[in-house]
Amino acid sequence: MSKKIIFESSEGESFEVDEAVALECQTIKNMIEDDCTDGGIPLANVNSATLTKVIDYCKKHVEAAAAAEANAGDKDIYGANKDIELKTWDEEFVKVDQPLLFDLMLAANFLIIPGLLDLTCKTMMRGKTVLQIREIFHIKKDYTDAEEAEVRKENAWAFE
Amino acid sequence: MASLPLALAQSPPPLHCWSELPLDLMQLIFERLGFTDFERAKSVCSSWLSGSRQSKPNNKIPWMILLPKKKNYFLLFNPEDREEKLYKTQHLGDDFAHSVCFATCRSWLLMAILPVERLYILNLLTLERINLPISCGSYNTILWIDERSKDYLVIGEDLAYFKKGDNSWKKISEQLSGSLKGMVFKDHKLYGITKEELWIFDFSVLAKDQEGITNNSIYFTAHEMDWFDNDIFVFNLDTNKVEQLPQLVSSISFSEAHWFLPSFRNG
Repeated sequence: MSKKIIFESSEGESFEVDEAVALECQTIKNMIEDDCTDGGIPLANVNSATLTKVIDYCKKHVEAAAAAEANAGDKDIYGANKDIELKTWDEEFVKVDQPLLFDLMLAANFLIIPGLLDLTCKTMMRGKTVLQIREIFHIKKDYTDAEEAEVRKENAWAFE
Repeated sequence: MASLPLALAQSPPPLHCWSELPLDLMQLIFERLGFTDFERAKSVCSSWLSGSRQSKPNNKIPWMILLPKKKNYFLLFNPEDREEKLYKTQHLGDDFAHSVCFATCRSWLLMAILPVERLYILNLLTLERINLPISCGSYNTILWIDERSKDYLVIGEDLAYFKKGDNSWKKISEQLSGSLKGMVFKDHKLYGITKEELWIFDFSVLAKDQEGITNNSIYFTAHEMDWFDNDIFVFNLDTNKVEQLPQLVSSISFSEAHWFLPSFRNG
């Protein structure tokens, strides 16, 4: 039986995961190597909803890596695995509301999960216009009109 | 044994305040954005603009430039966001409609006004323009330009070259002029091939260039295959399949298409 690691969310809820799953987080990996994970790992700035998602992500990617290993012969001529299924899963995974996306990004940054950080960062902006970004993320335009005109002059093409 | 409490010095901002993302995280985001998203993100608010100044976009994918017939603008197609539309550049000058493109180097184009006598270099994003002296240019001309110093080098098929600071075109070799079958410029060296020989000319006194890219797909327009004019196709080397992209502009037909890598002077 594989070793278990226990996370504790900011609400004090416990989450038990396989060590392999926890190892997806570089921060936790370092702690495991330093042998200071007994008694659980309190994550004071990750809430339960976010932690559930983060664990889902790590689990899926551990499984996908294992599956890829098993089908090592199934590579294309450039040696890259065809990971279309995982990509689709990732796309579905980040279809969340913006506070959760924000929390996921912070958690990915803090726990050091490069794949998740990539995914959340790209999702945040992807294909959105400036007005949409301001609306979705509740950002107030704090440019003066003159400043904005200056910025937009350079990349007018991006807003058409 | 009690484990170390894992907490940031401070709790995350309670209201998910996107305009006040920590600078290091903002940089991580900006580094991961493609060219379009990066340019848009920096226009969102002033803190994002200052955040963007610390980073560069993840800018490895070339775009296709489409030249509508007899128009004063380009249309830009970014393969990354294929469901999106084409981007239209600003008005590129009154003589633009009578120009053809001989070569590209990132966002810079070597343009020739027809009938070919005048050449100019144009940045299609910033509209900076450098006029060159009259030459007998041709489609097999090479353009190299340094984004920061604006050092540039243009090499014609007849092996005449013109670089920044020069007063006139100079011949690299009278002997070879006219006998080259093809030439390529890479890492400050010009490789020219005749029927029997390969010649290499070193221009490496010029500043360093940037790395190129590889991709597993070939994007091409129907025009290049003498089919209908305004479709773009993708041939995927992995799957050996050709795919037609959604028709982007049905009413405009293109006279030619080129690739360029978008960048600004800081890029």
